[in-house]
Amino acid sequence: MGDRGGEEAGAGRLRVHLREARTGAGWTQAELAGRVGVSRKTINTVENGVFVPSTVLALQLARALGQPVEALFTLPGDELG
Amino acid sequence: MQRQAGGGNSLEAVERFAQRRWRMVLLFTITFAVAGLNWAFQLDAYAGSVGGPSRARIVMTGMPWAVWGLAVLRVTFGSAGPRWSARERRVLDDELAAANRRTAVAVGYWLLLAGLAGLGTAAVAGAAAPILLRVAVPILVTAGVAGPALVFSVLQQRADVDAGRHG
Repeated sequence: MGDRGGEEAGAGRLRVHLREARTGAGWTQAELAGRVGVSRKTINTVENGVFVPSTVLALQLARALGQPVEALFTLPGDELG
Repeated sequence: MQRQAGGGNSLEAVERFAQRRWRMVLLFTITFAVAGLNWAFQLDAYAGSVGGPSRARIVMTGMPWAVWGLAVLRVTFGSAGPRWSARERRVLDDELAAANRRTAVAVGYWLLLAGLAGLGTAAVAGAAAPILLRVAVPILVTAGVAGPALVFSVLQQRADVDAGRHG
């Protein structure tokens, strides 16, 4: 999955592609935060791999962006078709 | 206060309040820690007088400090208050804030545990004279309250600074 870019979170156990998905949708961090109901710094820390979100927040982010959660968060070595 | 059409405060206002909150926690914590150490050393200074400091003096000087400690805990771990709608409170106390609070509580737990272990060791070694207890207890409480509050404030501050850099 390393060739898809993204930030690593949780000591390299999770690769985060939230920033790519958000910018692809043309949203700012504040817009995404407003739609999901969290603070902008939460979105920022998730994007930068500093904070690993709960399953609920990951699903909310995926729903807001209209993408499967597997497109936003992947494990190292995973490949999407 | 800028308000949205729905009647709630704008999310920008919520973010600004979140920034003010960690600054307030930091200020409260520093003053609490300084007052706590000052109180401990005051008790130590009075310990030389006959019979040590009176109970009334301990209560009189310690009560404002204890109330201030509760205020520190309130601004650190309490909810944002009725001024904000339920949705805004969810943003203020979202997952990141909750995670930072859990980290802060863990730090406080280990600080208190280490302090109690140190105190217990001193007691076993026969060094825990009443004067040591009088000084150690305020210092232990100061560390147990100020430590977590400081950790929460620093974690929130770092997240805010980082969000500002990448925003």
